[in-house]
Amino acid sequence: MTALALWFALLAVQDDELVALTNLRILTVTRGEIEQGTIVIQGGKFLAAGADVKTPPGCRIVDGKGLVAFPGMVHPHSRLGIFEVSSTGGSTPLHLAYDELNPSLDVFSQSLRSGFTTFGVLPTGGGIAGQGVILKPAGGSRDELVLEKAGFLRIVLQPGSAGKEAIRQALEAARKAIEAEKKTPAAKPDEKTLPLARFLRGELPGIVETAGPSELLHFWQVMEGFTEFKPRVSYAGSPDAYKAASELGARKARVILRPLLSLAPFTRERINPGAELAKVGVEVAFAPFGDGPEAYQGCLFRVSELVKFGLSRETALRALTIVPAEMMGVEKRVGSIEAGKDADLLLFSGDPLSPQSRLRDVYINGKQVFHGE
Amino acid sequence: MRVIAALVLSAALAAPLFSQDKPAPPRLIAIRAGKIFTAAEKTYDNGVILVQGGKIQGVGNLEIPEGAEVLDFPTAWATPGLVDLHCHIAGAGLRDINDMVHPANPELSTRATIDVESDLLKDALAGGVTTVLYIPGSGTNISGFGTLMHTGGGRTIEDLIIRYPGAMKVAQAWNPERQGGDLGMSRMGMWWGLRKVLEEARVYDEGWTAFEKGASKEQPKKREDLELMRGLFQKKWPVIIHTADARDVMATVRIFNDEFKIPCIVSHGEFGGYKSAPEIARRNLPANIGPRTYDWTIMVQDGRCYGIAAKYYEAGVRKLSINTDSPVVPEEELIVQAAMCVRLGLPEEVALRAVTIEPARAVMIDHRLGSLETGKDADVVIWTGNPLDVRNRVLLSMIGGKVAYDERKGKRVNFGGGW
Amino acid sequence: MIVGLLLALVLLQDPPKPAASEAPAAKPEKKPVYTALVGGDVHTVTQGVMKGGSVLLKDDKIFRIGQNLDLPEGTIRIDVTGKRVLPGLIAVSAHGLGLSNAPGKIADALDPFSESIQLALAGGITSAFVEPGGGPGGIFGGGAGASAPGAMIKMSAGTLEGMLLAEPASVSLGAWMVGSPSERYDLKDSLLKARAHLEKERDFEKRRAENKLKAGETVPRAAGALETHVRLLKGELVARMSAPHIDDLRRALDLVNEFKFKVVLTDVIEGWIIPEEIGRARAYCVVEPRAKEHAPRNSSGRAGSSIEQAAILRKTGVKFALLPPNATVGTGGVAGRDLMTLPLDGAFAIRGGLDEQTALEAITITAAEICGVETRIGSLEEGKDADVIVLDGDPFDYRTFVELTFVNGRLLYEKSKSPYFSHLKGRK
Repeated sequence: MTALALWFALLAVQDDELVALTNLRILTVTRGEIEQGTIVIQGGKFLAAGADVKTPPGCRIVDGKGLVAFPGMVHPHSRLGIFEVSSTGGSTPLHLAYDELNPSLDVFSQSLRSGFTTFGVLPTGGGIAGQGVILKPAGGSRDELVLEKAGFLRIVLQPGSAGKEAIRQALEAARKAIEAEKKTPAAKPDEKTLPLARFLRGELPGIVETAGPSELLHFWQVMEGFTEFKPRVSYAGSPDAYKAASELGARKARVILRPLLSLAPFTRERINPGAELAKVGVEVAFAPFGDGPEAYQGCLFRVSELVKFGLSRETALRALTIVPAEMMGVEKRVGSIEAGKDADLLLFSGDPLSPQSRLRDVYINGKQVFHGE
Repeated sequence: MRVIAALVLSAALAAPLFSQDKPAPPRLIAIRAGKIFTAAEKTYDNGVILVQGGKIQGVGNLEIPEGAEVLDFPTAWATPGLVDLHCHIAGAGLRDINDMVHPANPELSTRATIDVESDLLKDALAGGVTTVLYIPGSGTNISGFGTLMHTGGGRTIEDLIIRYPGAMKVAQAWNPERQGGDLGMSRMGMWWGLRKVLEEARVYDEGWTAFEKGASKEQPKKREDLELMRGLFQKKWPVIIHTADARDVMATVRIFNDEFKIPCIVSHGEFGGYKSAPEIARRNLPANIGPRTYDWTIMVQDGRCYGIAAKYYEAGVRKLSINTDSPVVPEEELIVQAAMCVRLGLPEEVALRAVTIEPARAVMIDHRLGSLETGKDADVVIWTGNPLDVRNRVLLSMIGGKVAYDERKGKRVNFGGGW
Repeated sequence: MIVGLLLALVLLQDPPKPAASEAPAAKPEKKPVYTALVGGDVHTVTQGVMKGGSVLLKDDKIFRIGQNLDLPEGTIRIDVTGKRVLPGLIAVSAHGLGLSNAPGKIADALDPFSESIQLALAGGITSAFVEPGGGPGGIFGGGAGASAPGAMIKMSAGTLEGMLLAEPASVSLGAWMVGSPSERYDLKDSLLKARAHLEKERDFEKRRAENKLKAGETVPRAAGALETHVRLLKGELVARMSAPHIDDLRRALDLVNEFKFKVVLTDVIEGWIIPEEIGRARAYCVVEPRAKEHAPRNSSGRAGSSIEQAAILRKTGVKFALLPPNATVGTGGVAGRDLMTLPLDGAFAIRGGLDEQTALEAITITAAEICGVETRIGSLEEGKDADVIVLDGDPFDYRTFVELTFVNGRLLYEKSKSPYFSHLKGRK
């Protein structure tokens, strides 16, 4: 018995690998920037990060050589590993992106060099399209990849009466189920209604996609019938969303944008949608244009361009990390360098927003998964 | 004796030729109007226009001679008949204005396609337009020769023609681009082709001029297609060029004025063409604006609505005229085009001159019409008030001293119809 | 024991039903927003012109009109000395204005952020009758024909609130005009049924008033197309029929005279030839003063278009609204032929002999009547919607520009602040 216990203890020690990365410039995102400091990783999590961190005994020390540490980036609007294109529309809340995943595809390992370490992958479809899966691309099997099997609800508002009515009806059914459950605790919402009920109750975050800022108004018109609920919603969709800035700001909304400059109508005057929204208190996330190496690797570059045109540095850095993590409800696990969070870490040769910087190392769950030159 | 008889006989025969009784002089008409806009030096209040033999005999605060037929319009405005240099409606329809097999067609002409009975010409006349340059379309780089004609006052095509050729029609870009895979899809191809034809015509004219003057004994070969182009080099009639953005306007100026030294009229000039207006002004060339009266979101991108005519005027272009490009804008709305140019920043008087004397001058017919001046044709229009105010209408249109449209004689059926 | 019974009663009762939605917390009383346009010539349209008058707006309504008004504390005061104050202009037809391509009801296709709304506001247009299908064109405008009954919408940029004024705002009886004989038969049949239903309703109401109802009798209900036709016959809805020529007009008027409903005849070209017949049917017309159609050369009677049509209709007492050659907004380049210069077509009607007051009504109050919303918009009267425009001159002068446009009391367009026309100086 003791031998077995010893053996387990030994295994535990190996799994509980203790690593200290020293001599780093650390951009924590949520706890400021540290000019020179150390990050300690244990058991796949951040144990500590700071200027005065003492390296624990038995720790493997790696010299960071002045590299810049940044949290692994979070992509809240991805289709990584999914190639289905058919879209049925209507209401299919039970569809899981998890089921559509093909973990054997090379795209996962290719994405390791991108700097994105957490992906919110959307299910195929329109209307109440289904539930997205949250995953990290390190691991072989489906379950090794997955963080949350059904992490958020995807709602695509299809323009027009039918699209609005479909959402209204689905939510109405959910409301009835919630009320029925209140009356009779044993009467649980059925399988199909449950995700929507969880959405309304704020348990399951939702990502709502609209074609343009006017469609946002139409979505809110639908939601006027459900004011007793406070679901967690993030909005994704058009670069023109900035036109609805005051409404989005009043709701302290969260918005997913592509890293694009827009043009004021009839002119070539640049508008920085992210900056316009951030100005009025909207939380902005930037998602790459698509999926694939060019899209992922180009994202940082484009975001840095937006900083050049008036986006604050803080907004830019948060938009790639903690904000998309909050949108998907995984902010306790990823999105910043803080003790207790998953050790998803990027090491750059310089500031991440500088076009000359190169991504040197990527760690997911404390393990180095990419080493660049 | 026989000689004397012959002399007496011839004298007797010749007597009627030298009769003391002169033939009755043509009728004198006096038009009295509350305001006379002459498009010349002065505007007259409560003035008189004297018309005889189809010509203006006098304009001003004149005494009306005895025996004159008086047309009294005490509260009305009188203006010269309006002139539109960019008209496509005198034929039987849009099919009549473009033949597009070849990229250059100097052999083609609108003359034979004129439909004297056209309702559209009647509408134009009742809208105060008395002269139009009826030109082919812009489907090719040289679409042919246009006809300078009256809109009424005659029964046959010959009756209506003021001068043929009126002008050669060229399209620089923004329509004549070839789509069939032959040369001329790009500006490179189009303008190479244009220059070739112009050079051929220039050489042709040189050769014939030398032969006609006796400097050369060799008679050159006659070429139907280039014959009328001689008039360009001899500065007898101009070329009117459909042109568009600033680059195309510059090309027009460069090719026709600078290189080939032909009298030219820059027509349309929209989509940001006004940015080349200083070059037009420097060379004192005529610009003919329309149908678009503003540049706003196409090729101009600062969100502002710019009055095109005003922009050309601001840049110093003084030979400014306005068109309808009918049927894009109905021909009878030429004055409305002018009103819109005023709305968008052009001074009123400049706008009125832009539909009278300036187009006449540009098409080289100003010795005959375009203003109310002694010796010019009696093309006169009477309006109920300032023509630019859309609420006013035409009461009477006179061509060559003859009333061709009179609202009092028929009902106002169409806008600009009284038949 | 009694306590027990009472207790039992209490316990046996259903628990109180949770409210379908919790009563929303009472909104804190919002202070009204006052805006005053002071010192201009106020063209009320229905009650003459008040020189040097003021218009006081309270939130989204016109609160007071008068001279030397007492302004409440905090009023936003705008000096409009030397300017004209008018009701917002109304387009009785507008293609693709303020709508996206979304299918279904117009209420669900409203596009408050559309640039087309900004352009309309710059032209002084505050409301428009729109139909789905068909978009704004280039120079010539125009679009595909309508596929469903239209709606009346406001140019309320940036918000859905208060944007939909009425839907449906018309009943299309196109089948009567261009349908096959069997389609026309079906339509007439439906109208007959609607008339019969209406009589049943009236009979029911009469007997209810006299307490002579049978046991369990309820008011007869109509559904679907029948209900629409019943509402039409009741006068709650307006029919639209396209009737360019005399034959079309007579065909339309036949139906109107048989069933006596409120009708708007659109695309009217030859109305000037039979105005009395139109007047007898109390039909409205939509007139494009610049519409041009030549009489066939061999026609014996009068035919084709006439610029005097508006004036002739007016003389006969027929009410009408005006439209430009292109019932749309755009930036194609040819000025003066679309909704951005709607008053210009009033000027053309005046050219044809119409008086200025009627021309003004034709783009304001009569247009509102045609769209069934005259109790809300179309004139400056206390209690009506605060849809107001300020002009820098005579509305029918070709040089006049819109300086301010208010919709539902919100200032949505200021010429001096918009890049569109701020560089064009008004005339002295």
